[in-house]
Amino acid sequence: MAIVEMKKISLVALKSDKDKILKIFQALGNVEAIEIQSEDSKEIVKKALAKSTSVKDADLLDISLLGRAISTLKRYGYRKKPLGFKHALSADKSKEIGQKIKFLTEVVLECQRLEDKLSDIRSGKTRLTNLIAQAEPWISLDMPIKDVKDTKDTKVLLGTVGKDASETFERSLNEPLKDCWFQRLGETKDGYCYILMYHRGLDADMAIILKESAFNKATFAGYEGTPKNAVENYTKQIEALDEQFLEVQKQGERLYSHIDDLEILFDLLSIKQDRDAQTERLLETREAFLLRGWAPAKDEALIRARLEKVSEAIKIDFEDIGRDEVYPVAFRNSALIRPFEMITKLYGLPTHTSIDSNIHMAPFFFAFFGIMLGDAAYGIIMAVLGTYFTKKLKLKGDGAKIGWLVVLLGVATFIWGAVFGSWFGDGGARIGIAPIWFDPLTNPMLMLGLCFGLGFVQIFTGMAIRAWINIKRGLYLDAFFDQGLWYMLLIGLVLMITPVSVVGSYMAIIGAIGLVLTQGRSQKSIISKFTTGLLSLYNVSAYLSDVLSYSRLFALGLATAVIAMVFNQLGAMLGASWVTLIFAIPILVVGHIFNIAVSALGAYVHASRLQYIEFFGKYFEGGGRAFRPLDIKTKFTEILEEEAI
Amino acid sequence: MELGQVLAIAGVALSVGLAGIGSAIGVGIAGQSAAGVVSEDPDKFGQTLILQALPGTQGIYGLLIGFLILLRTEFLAGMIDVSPEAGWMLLFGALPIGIVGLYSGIAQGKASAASIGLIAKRPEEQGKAIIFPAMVETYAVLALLASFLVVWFVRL
Repeated sequence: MAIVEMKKISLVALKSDKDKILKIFQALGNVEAIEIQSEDSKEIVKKALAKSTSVKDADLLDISLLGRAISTLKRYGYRKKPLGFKHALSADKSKEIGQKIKFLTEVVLECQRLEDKLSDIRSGKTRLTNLIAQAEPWISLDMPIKDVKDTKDTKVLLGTVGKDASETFERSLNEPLKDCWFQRLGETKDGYCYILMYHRGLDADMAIILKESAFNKATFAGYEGTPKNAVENYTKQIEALDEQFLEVQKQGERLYSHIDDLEILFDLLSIKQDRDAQTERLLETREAFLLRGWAPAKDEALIRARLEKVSEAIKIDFEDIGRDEVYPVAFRNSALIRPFEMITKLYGLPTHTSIDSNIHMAPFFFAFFGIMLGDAAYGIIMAVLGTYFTKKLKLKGDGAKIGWLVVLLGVATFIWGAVFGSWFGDGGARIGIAPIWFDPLTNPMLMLGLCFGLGFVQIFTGMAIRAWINIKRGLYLDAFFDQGLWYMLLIGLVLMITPVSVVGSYMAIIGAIGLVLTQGRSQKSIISKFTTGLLSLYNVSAYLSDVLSYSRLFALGLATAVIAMVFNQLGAMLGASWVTLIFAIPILVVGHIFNIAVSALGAYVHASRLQYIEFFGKYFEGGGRAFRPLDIKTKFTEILEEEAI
Repeated sequence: MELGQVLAIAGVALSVGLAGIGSAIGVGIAGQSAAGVVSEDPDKFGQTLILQALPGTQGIYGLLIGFLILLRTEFLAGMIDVSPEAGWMLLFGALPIGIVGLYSGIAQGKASAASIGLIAKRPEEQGKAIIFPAMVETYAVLALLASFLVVWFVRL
C-alpha cells in the first residue's frame, strides 16, 4: 500500500551477545545496519573487525574455493533429485555439519588437488601427443638419433623439404657426378622427411641446393634412440596418464558422497559471511558494541520482544525519523500487487518522501500486457507454467515476485484473449468460439478507441496522483494551477467533439486562459510570466502524443494475433491430407511457442514503457535507496528452524 | 496477370523485405555488442539476448503487413481480381512499415548496442536499458498501424 515507515534503531549490547543478536536480526530479516561514522576517534571506540565467533575453523575455508569444489564434484556423479530440490536444514543437521568442518575442509582441498591433477594430466597428454606427431614421420629411420653424425669425409643431414619444392630438390641431387645419397623417410603435414649424406667436397654446391629448396634441418629434442622407440615410449606415457585419469575419476566419485554436506556448508558459510559484512558497520569497545540502523516501525515490538530474551544487558532505542532525514525505501503491498514491485524496481525506487506507485501502476500494467499479448490459450499456458515453476522451484524474494508476475500476466492475457475471441490466434474462431466482446481485426476502430480511452484514463490518473501529492504537501494552489486547469482544458477539448460541444469549448477556453495566467508564475518579470504561460499551451501536443502512444496496445495485439494466424494457416494447409499432417503438428507447436516468446517480450517491454514514460512521467519522484536488511539467502538449502544458522 | 495483382505482391515484397533488412542489420549490430560483453562475462547472456531481440520486431511487423495483403487478396486461394488503383493503394500502404521498419530497425539496433554497453557496466539497470531502444520502436509501431489501416480498409 505504501512506502514502509521506518524507525531509527540503535542498540548497545555486550560483545559476547553480538553473534546471537545478529542471528536474530538475520532470521527476522528486517534490520539494516548503517555504517557508523565514528566522530570521537578516542581509542576506546574502534571499528569492529569482521571476525565472527560461531564457526571458528570456517575462517580457514574460503567460500569461493568451496563453491568451486562443489562444481568440480558435480562432474563425478549424479543425484536423482526432483526439480527445485533443496536440503532441509534443521538445527541438529547444522550442528553436525559444524562439527565435520575440519573434515569437509579437507575434502575441499582434496577436490582442489584433483582439479590440479586433472589439468596436469590434460596438459601432459597434449604435450605427448605433439611429441608423437613430431617423431612419427621419422619412424622408418632405423637407427638411434645420436648415431646420426658426420664422419671425416661425409656429412649426414636429417631434415624436411616442403612438398612443392621436393621434386626440384630430388632432381638436383640426382644429377650425375654428385657424390651424395638421400632417402625419403616419411611425410609430415606439409613436407617430406629426408636423410641426406654427401662428401664434404660438395659443401658449397649443397649449401645452394639446400637453400633453394628451403631445407629445414630437423631437431630431435628429448630423445636419442630411434624414433620408433621414442613413439613407443611416448605412447606408454600416455597410457600411464590415462590410468591416472581413471584414478582421479575414482577418487572424484568417492568424494562425491560428500557433496550434500558441502552444499549445506556453502549456505551456512555464505549466511555467516552476510553477517560478518554487517559486523563491519558496527562500533566496538572492549566489551560492548553499538549498532545503528533502520527497521520498519511496525516491527518495533517484535524486535524488542526477541532481544529481551537474549540478555538483560541490551539497550535498544527506536527513534522517529527527523523531517529532513533520508531513509531507505521498502514497499509493503498485498500479495496481488507485490509482484508488480519488480516493474517499479527496474525503473528505480521512488524517493522516501514520495508515494508508493505500485498500487496505481499494477492495474494498468496488468491490463496493457493482457491486451498486447491478448490470447486466451497463451494466457492459460503462461499461468499454468508460471504457477508450476514458482511452486516447484520454491522461489523466494525477487524470484517469487517474477514467478507470480508471470502468473498474473497470464491471467490478464487469458481475460483479454477471451474478450477478443483469440485462442491460439484465430484457432478458436476456426472451431467456432465467439469473442465475448468484439474481434479487433474486424472492428479496428473500436479497438483504437478502446486503446486511446485507456490511455486517457491512465494519463488522467497520473495527473490526479500528482495533484494528490501536491495537496498532501499543502501546495493547494499548485494542484489547482498545474493539474486542475489542465483537466479543464483537456476535458473541454474532448467534450468539443461530443454533442455538448458548447460546454466543452467554454471549459477549454477558461482552462487555457487560466494556464496562460498561471504557468509562468515562477518567472520574475511580467513579460516572461506571460510568454512562459502562453508557451505552456504547447503542452497540449505533448498530451496528444501521450494518448496516441497507446495505439501500440492495438498494434502489438495485432502482431500476436496475425503471427498466430500465419502459423495456423501453414498448419491448415499441411493438415489437409493425412500424410502431411505429421509436419503440421511440429510447425504449430514450434510456431506458437515462438509467438508466445516474442510477443510476451514485446508486451512486457511496451507495457513497461507506457508506465515509465507516459504514466510515471506525470508524477513519479525517483531517487530512493532500497532497504537492504540483513537476511538469510540460501542457494542449496531450506532453513527449517532459526537455530540452524 | 493483372497490374493490380502485381502491385499488391510488390507491396508484400517491400514490406517484408525492407523491414526484414532493417531488423537483420539492427539485430546484427546489437549482437556484435552482446558477444563482446558476454566474452567478458558469460553470465550476462540472458540480459543481453533480450536487448538483442528488441530490433527484431520490425521484421515481424513487415511480415504481418505482407501476410495481411496476401490474406486480403486471397492469394493462397488463387488470388482475386485487384484493380490497378487498389493495387497501388496496397503497395503504398505497405511502404510505411517497409521504410520505417528499415531505418528504425537499424537505429534501434544502435540504441540496443549502446544499452548492452550499459548492461556491461551496470547490470542492475536492465529496466532503463530496455527503455532506450523501446523509444525507437514507437515509430515502427506507428508505421505498422498506418500500414494496417490502409491495407485492411482498401476497397478491393
